[in-house]
Amino acid sequence: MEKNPEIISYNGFLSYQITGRLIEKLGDLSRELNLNKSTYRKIVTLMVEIIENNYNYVNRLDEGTLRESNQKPFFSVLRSGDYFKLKSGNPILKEDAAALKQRIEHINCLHYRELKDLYMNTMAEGIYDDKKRSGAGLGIMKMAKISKSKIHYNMEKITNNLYYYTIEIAIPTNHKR
Amino acid sequence: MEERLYKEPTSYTPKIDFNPKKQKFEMAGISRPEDAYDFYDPILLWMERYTERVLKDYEENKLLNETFIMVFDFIYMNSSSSKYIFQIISHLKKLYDKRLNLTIFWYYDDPDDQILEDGEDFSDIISIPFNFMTREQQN
Repeated sequence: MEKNPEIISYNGFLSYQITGRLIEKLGDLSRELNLNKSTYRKIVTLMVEIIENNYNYVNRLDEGTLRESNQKPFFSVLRSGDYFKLKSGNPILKEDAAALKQRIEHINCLHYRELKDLYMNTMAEGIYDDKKRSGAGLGIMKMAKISKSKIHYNMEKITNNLYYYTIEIAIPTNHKR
Repeated sequence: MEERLYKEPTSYTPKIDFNPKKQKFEMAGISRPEDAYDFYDPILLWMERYTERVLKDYEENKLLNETFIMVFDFIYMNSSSSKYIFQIISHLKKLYDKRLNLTIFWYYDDPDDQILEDGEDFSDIISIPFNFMTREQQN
């Protein structure tokens, strides 16, 4: 039986600063986990994308909507067999949930080459989405591109206006391109 | 001529050293700024003005040195940064398209390094060959 597969676990509202602390924690654990440099950096890149995705959606909720949700955000990294699994959960507005679901479903249908083309074309489209803070899905595409596997996700209804979104990304413990 | 643009690296942002005198531009470290727009917009503006000035000098036969070097030495970057880095390379491509001598170095650690894949993506989409080099080759 595997001893404590959980490597990193954080419950509560995530932020840019907390991302930094969690990356530091992974760095401290990397020797114990026998992580090679490239796998460590892939996990860090995924962590950054997943956590930014998490708090960007939470930051769009006003205080009243946040109070309606009794489910707080979380992020974790765990080891499961030959994989590291990165999991995240957060409340999300109904309108965002619908758009995000559509985006993930589309990405999950693509072959790797198609995904790479979509990623590069989206990147070339420019920087305007950043100003709107709505995102163009580049982060989700990057997650799928790095993990080279389907994105597992779930949207659970909390209220008429709010869903709880969870996402899971797996990466082999000895990741090769 | 534009002034040298220099920014010290932090735990979240890369070192920026754009030296117009040497015609050498370097970005190195980690790129996941809290606000990618705030961090990268002045850098983009600098590069836009610089390339416009160089092209003007070139058209007027005033360009003394036609060699330009861009060095990318990233550990990792987030997807928001990628869009801005792409724009920086797009400005430099204007020099490449005029057949000026632009060399882009892109450093990585090993063939499984994510940053190598990021560099290959940029090179593919911008249609400029990069010089991919391991950090060992750098030293």
